Amino acid sequence: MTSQHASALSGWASRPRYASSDLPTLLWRERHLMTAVFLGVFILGAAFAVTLQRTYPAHASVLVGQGQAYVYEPRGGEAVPQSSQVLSETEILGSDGLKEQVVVQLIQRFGWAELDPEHPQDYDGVSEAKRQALRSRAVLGIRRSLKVESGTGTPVIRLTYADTDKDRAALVLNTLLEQYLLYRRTVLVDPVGAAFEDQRRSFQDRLNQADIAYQSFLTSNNIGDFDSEKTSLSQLQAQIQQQQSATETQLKARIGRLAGLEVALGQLQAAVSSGRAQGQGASRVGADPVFQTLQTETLQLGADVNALRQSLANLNQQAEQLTQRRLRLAGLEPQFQSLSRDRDVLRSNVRDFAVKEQQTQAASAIAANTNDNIRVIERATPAAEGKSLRMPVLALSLIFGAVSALCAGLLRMFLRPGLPTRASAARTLDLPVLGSAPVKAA
Amino acid sequence: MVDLNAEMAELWGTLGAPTPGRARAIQFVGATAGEGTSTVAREFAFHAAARRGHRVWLVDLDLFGSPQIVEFSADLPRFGPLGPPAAASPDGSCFFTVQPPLKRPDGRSWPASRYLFAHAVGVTSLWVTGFRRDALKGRQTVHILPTGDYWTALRRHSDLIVVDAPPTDRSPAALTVAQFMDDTVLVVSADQADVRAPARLRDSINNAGGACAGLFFNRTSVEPPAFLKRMRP
Repeated sequence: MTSQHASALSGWASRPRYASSDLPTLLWRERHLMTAVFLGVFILGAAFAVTLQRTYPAHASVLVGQGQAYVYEPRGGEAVPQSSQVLSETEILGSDGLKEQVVVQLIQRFGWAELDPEHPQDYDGVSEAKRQALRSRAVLGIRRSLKVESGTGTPVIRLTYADTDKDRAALVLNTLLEQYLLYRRTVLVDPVGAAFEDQRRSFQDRLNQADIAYQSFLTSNNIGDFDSEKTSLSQLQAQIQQQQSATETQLKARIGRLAGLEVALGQLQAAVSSGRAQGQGASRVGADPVFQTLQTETLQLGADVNALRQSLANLNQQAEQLTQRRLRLAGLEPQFQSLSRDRDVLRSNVRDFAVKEQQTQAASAIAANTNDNIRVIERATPAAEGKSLRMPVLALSLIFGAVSALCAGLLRMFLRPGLPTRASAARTLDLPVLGSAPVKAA
Repeated sequence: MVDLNAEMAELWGTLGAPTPGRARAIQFVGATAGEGTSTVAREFAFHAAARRGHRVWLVDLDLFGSPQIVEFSADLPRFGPLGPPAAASPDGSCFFTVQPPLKRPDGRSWPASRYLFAHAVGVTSLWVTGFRRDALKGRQTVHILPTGDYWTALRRHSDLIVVDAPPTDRSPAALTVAQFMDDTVLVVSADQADVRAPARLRDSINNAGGACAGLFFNRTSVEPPAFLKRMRP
């Protein structure tokens, strides 16, 4: 018993086993089906190929270098790698936003007829919604015809735009290049300038509020300048204290002298009264000049003492008022310090963000006004030769039709019941074929 | 009626002629009905007798139908007229038994071989067997015997014994007699949907002691196109 036979005993083949030599014969049996499938696919492909028009591809290329937008703008880490820059630029070139700009530009310059020569009136006299739909259709057309390619490791981006009109192909591609140089600025520049400005405005608003609170505080407390007020009060109090001291000294001196004069005047009056003031040899008649002098001086000193006392009382009152004022300022000082601190911090922040905003605006302006990292290597020119996909589509139809026919034939072949050939019968049953007979009519 | 003379010549060539002096027994059997087994067996037997000149016995194991005699009778122009019925057992042995046996007037049982007869076919040396079904009485039944006496006896009077066995999905007769055959040829029709049935039959015959010589591939509908035939060696 052969090994094949042994395996057959353990499990009979449920499907015919084919020999490679059977395939041509079995496929020949399915030739009608295969022919029908092939013709169906090929005719469809050929019909499609007939509808294809000759297109003229316009080519352009740009070189992407290290630019401001990628080097100057980053605020942390390293500059963006060039491969990423090329990818970014490729994305920008392939974006629908750019294509929309191109469509708008072409319509403005040349009218809708340039984009759709077969329906030049479609864009005129229709609603904006309809125009938007037409522009979207034009964008879709550009998307289908535009090919943006960037090779690995090379900073060059190649663009190809194919159109049935070679002049229009070059025009669209060159317009796309122009608009790209403008459009990329709006995409790349000033990524955080607005944020700085917003933050600066926020701090400015808070500073204004703090200023209002500060001014309100000073006004409500009748303070012009807190620190000056505090200093002037201190100086004024020192002056008053000096004046108090001087006045008190003068007052004491006057009071002492007045007391002496009053004693002397009293003694003189006593002496006159007792006659001790008259000598033995003479007598004096009339006003006593000494007495008058003493009396006059006493009156003057009394007047001075009263004046000094009045002055001292005034000074004491002023000193008391100053003390009260200083105590009030001391009570207000924490609130004043808090308001001042808030103002200082906010003012500092406003200044910092204003500086950053200015720097960002400067950087953006530099980046916006230059495309230093983009060099247009080649602008599009009308193609000398057109390209038609008819033959490739026909060839593909031929190949696809043949493959489809082969698949259909194989499928039908394998799905047919029974043992199709002598070789398959021998292989399936593991027995030699001793003879065979075709189907014969009785 | 189909003429498979050319195809039988190929089968004769692959099976080989019987050795002179020793008859060869070849059984034809199919897994299911309708595969053309009887036709192939008949055509092979007729070819061996008419074309090769051998003494051939075509033994029909389909006892209740005896289709071979019917078929020979149906195409007299080709096969010629059938001869008168004759005994089909040289020595009274038989490959089947009838139960219960009928009793003679003297009390002995009628031998089973009395139910078997044969006709000579045309002017050839071909004999075809048949079964007297109408001789069965009452509830008598027929069973194929696993003994070789009949086949041994028949070999002495023939060059080739062709056995037409009924399909094994209907009768196990082919498996019973397989061990007494020199070769068993499986008849497989190309439109046989269940390819496992002939494989099971092959294994059953081998397990029953028979020898599968190969298969006859019947009713092929796929022929290589002429240009492919020319390309092939």
